[in-house]
Formats: sequence, C-alpha cells, structure tokens
Amino acid sequence: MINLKAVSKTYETPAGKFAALKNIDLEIRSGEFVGVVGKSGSGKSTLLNMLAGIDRPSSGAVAVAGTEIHALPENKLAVWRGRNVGFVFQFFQLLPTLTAVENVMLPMDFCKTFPLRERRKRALALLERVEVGAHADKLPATLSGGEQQRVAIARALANDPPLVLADEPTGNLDSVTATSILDLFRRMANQGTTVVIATHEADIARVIDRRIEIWDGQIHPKITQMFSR
Amino acid sequence: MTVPWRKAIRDFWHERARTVLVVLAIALGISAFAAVMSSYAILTRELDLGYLATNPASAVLRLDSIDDETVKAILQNPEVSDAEPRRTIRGQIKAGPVQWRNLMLFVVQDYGNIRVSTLVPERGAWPPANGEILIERDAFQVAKANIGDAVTVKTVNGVEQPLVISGSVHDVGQAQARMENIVYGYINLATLVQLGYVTGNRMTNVQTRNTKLRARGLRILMAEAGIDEERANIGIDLAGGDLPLAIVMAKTGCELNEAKQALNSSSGVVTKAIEALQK
Repeated sequence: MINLKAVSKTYETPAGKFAALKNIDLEIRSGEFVGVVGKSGSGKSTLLNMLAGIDRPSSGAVAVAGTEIHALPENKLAVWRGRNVGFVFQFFQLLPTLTAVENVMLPMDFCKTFPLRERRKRALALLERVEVGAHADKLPATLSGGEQQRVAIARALANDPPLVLADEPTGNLDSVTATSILDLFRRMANQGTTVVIATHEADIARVIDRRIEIWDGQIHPKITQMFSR
Repeated sequence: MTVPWRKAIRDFWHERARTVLVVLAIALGISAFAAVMSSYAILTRELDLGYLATNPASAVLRLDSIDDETVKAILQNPEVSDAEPRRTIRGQIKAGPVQWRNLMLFVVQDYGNIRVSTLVPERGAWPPANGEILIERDAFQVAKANIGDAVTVKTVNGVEQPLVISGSVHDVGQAQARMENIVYGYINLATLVQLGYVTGNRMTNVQTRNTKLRARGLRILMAEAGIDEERANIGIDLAGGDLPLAIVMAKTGCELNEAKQALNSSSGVVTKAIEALQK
C-alpha cells in the first residue's frame, strides 16, 4: 500500500540546512493501522505530509496505492490526493460557514466522485457511521470538539479513499472522547482502510497494529514493534 | 447548487459590510481608472487639435536677413504651401529690482494676416502698437507683470529700453513659458527698429562672439557698408567685435569713441546714430 525508499527531507533555514527526515525506508500494508509516535519536531508531521503528497521528498521514492507520487506534477498530485487520501487534522479545519453535511459533501463536489444527487445521501450516511447524524444541519461552531472531529473524519472518508492520514487527531480532545475517536479509526481499519496517525498519545497501543517511533528524523529500529492482534 | 457555491455566497453574506466595501472600492478604482484613461484620450486629442489649428510650421529656416524676395523664392517650391517671415530675437526682461528673465521676442509684420503658427489673442490690445509688447499668457508669471505695466527689456548690447505690455496672446506652438522660465513677447516691426535691432533690412545687433556669429557679422557688414571681406574683417576688429559699432564706423568713417557716443545717445539704434554723425 505504502512504500518509502530512502526518503530524506531537508529544509533550508536561516540557521542552515535542517534534516527533517533522514533516509527513511518504510512499508505499510493495505488495511494496516499504524501509529507514528515521536516528540515534537521529530519529523512525524513531515512523514505524514510525505504520504499525503502535500510535501515532496528531497530525495528518495514515495509510492502510495501503486502511484509514484514524488514524480507527479502538482496539478495531477492534487487530483490524486483528492481521490486517494483522507486527512484529519488536530484542529478539525471544518469550514465555519458550512453545515456538517455540507462540509462532508465538499470533497465530493470538488472531485466529482459521486453523482450530484447521491452526494448528500452519502454524506448523511457517513455522518451516521461516525455517530453524528443528528447534527447534520448544524454549523461546526455549535458542535463539541469530539463531534467536530467526527464530522472531520466523515469528511476524510467522503471520497472513499484507500488511505486515511491523521495528524494528532486526538490532541485537542479529552481522554474519553479521544478513546472513542481512536475506536472509530480502528473500525475503519477493520473495514480495509489503511490508517496512519501521528500522535504522542502513549495510550494507543490498544488500537494500532504497528507502532513506528521516530527520533530525530529517523525510524528508531528497537522501539518500532509489531503488535499481534 | 454545489457546496462550493453555497460556501461562497454564505461567506459573502456573512461578511456583507466588507463585501459591500470591497465592491465599492473596486467600482471606484475602475471608474477612476476609466476617468484617467478617458481624460488622457481627450487631452491627447484636444492638444493635437489645438496645435494643428494653429497651422504649425513644418520647418523653420533661420536666416541672417529676410525680405519679400526670399519669401517669394521659398514659395516657388511646389512642396511649400505657405511661408511667412517672422523675426526672433533673444534678450532679457526685468522681472524685479535686480531680476532679469530670458526674453524671446517675436516680430510679426502683419498681425492681421498670420497664416503659419498662428497666435490667438486673449486679452487687451491686438495688434500691439509701436512701443508695445504682447506677452504669452503663460509668461506673465515669469515676467511678474500684468497688462498695462511698463517693462524694461535689455537687448544684446546691454541697452535697456521700456516697452508697455498691452495684451496677452496664446501661442500654442511654444513650450510652456513657466517650464522654460522664459518670457515670450510679440512686437511689431516698428518696435523692432526702435529697439535698434535693424539697419536697412538686416538684424544688425550681432556680437561676433564665435566663428559662426563672426561670419554672419562679416556678411552683414559687407552688405550694409558695401565693402569687401578683407576690409570688413579689419572693421570688426577695430570695433572690438561689436557689429553695430563696426557699421557706424564703416558708414561714417568716424573713430571708435565717436561711434560709441553716437550709439549711446541713439539708444543703440544704428540708423539714428549714423544720421546724427552725418549731420
């Protein structure tokens, strides 16, 4: 599903070159639920951006769902991203002037993945699936943090992507809500979606298939473990 | 309606005060731009029209002297539709107790029949009488004078003479007087003679300061006094390079000092000085 070969990312800063990722090799199977763990600044977000095609590697190859995305031009990359990747953010990033259901319909409108008439029906079904169907016609500001993140997850699933990425999806939620959100990701993985989340939540071992620890831009070999489920 | 449209409309409505302001600002900007462009178009068109309405000269020939014969000869050329003689003199005009401004005097023979590079009378007298001067409307500020004022003009040999400003004209063909810091003045032929610029039919007020001016001075002296080049050279040297002095000396046979005195008492008018000496 995901195959990274010798991926490095270097940023030019006023203080000199900064290596955010150093020679990363990584393989993630279809339907796997992977947790990327590490301290702030360790390179978690850079790795996720690499998988989403938001950022490009300085060197190395990134293949996701059979596409060599590091080689795609920007416009084709945007189309590919819309259909293949769902992204969940720490601060939800819902559009404030759109209702919950409209926020979920938006990716379908942009990518034209489903016929116009089916879009609202599908959006409502997705909201039901993440248990916020009752709030479909409310504006994000009237929802709680957990509800907003559920809407954001429904939006990430709108185009039925094979890969869902989440950057600190529970970072802004209380622990009870965080647990239920992580369960939601677990269920998505069980249904065949590949899920990669970046977190510094220690308590994710319960739900994930594999834990990848990033230290200083490198995958730490000893702490990266397989969990048998 | 798809969601992106709904979002756009709702965002505009949500920020309606700002939306109205932006729309107004854009409208204002566009109309200001259109106003500038159309004024530019109108100005360009009208300036061209105004300039062309003066029947501007296609070429200006600068000559030592001009007479009707020369003008006729020029008009013989089938490619010349019209030609008009006009004398131009440079001098200075007093604009304050110790301030002098450059003056360009145009001498028009017949104010009733200007056909090339025409002048438009604005206020006051038209045409100027003897001893009067018309000033280009933009040059009043440079001269610091008004219609009815008596002004002092200084000719090249330093003689100061009074003239009365009797009116204003618009001379479209000249560069703006305030930009050039110059006064454009218009006088008639009698005033030019009075200023001492003319002997016979020639502009004799020449200081032979350089080779070109000396050559011109030589030609004028030879023609006026009917002498050859060798004698004319000696004459100009004797007069210290001053052509009016040289003419007076050559025509009357008087000494340098005598000629100077005569010219001083005639305010620099060569003809008068010669008359006085010949009495």
